[in-house]
Amino acid sequence: MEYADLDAALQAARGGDEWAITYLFRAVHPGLLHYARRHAPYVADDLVAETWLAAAKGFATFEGDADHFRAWLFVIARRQIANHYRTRGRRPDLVALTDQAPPSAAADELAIETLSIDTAIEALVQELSADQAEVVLLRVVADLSEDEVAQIMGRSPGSVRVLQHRALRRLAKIWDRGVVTR
Amino acid sequence: MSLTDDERDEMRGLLMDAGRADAFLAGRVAPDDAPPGLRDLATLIQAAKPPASAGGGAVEGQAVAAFAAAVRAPVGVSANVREGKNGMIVKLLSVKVAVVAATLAFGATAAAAATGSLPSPIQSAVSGGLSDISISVPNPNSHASSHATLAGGNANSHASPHAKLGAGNAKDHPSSHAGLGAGNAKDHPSSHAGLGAGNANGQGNSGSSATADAYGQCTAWAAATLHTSVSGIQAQDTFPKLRALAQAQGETIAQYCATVTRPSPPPSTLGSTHVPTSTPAGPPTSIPAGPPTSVPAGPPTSTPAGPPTSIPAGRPSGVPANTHATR
Repeated sequence: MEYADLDAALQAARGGDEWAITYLFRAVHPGLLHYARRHAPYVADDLVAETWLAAAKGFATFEGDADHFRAWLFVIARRQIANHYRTRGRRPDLVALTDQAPPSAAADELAIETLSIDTAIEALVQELSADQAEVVLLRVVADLSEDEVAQIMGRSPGSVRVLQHRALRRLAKIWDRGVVTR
Repeated sequence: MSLTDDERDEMRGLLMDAGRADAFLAGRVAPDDAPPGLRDLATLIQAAKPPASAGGGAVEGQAVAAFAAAVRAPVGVSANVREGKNGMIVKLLSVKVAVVAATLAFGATAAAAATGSLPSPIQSAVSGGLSDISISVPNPNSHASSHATLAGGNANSHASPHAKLGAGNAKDHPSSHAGLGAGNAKDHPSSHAGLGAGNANGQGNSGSSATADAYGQCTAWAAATLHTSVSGIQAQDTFPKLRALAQAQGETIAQYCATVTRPSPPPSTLGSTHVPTSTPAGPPTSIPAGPPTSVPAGPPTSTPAGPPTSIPAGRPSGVPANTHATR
């Protein structure tokens, strides 16, 4: 079944419509998974599964639209990731959580059109500071707005704007290869 | 929201305005529409955006089922126990904690209340609370009747020190409890004697075993209920047998317990619940022979008036046990 948008699906999901719940899942799950892989690649699947189960427990009392729903899921995912590192005895630091970064490559060696999603994400954030990388991840991978990112990171929207501008300037410098590789 | 001076400084070095940057990161800028130096970056950002899932994974099935169950759960059910393994663990732990707490509540407080050994204000509160559901435990303000109502109170009463003490002294030392307000041992074989008569199993009294059992369970349930506000445990969940009895009558546990009567008192020679109506006149006329066969439980209820009239003769017969652990 198709829905006009995520808000319509969310509304139907509140009534227990399993197709609507499935629609929501398929819309948000990939972002959650790639976000988790960036932070904890070896346990990402488990962490995202735990995220969904945790969200299910609170869904009956969840209030908000589809954008809030997406942001809420990423808040839960970040908590799952933080708990993962906490139980491993490492201080949780949500802007510097990385189990092991995937292999990276210099920009001029990459054929962008052939990149996997995970490699593209790594190419985007590998040269950024932890704060900048987190902003870019939440903006690009999680598809959250500036305000939502600011809320999740506990920063002001202006601070997030500055971080993303710094990130873009850095990325523009790296990826200004003068050739469109398409 | 306006930008600070530092943020404006940051913005001056950018290739695009805030709106354009926002659109860029959101993937709304197609590579062909991007400025010449940013086309690769626009391509990269779009490549990094995960498409919607085709679905079908194991997680999807679990998540959808969990969400659907959460939505369909009745209002008021704790989110923790709606679905999921964590919820089940919480539920199981809750049951265990409830059983332990109910046991403690019954074993400690109920028994203490039944023997009248709680601090006076607490004893009054427990007594008052239980009396609301027709279960009697001693009230410090009505000492004369408190012991009598203990007969058949609960399973622990049978083994309580008071029960043994009362029964034994009533026979061997008829007047030994006179100072405690127990009355004339001759006319009233001692209200304490009644302490040993009742028990949840109906031993030694004329009540049926089923009645005594129900009465004992109601007493335990009432004690556990009193602790509900402290422990957050639902007492009714820990008394399935009692709940079944109540449901068989089409009643709640409280309604059921309100109709359960205390088992019949034992024969008058052992379990009289008769309350003394008068105080013996004059001092005791004789001194009981031999040492007491048991020691009263609990702290003294009164302090001797005036200073000591004599000093103990001789040396102490022993030294206090060394309570310091040797290292």
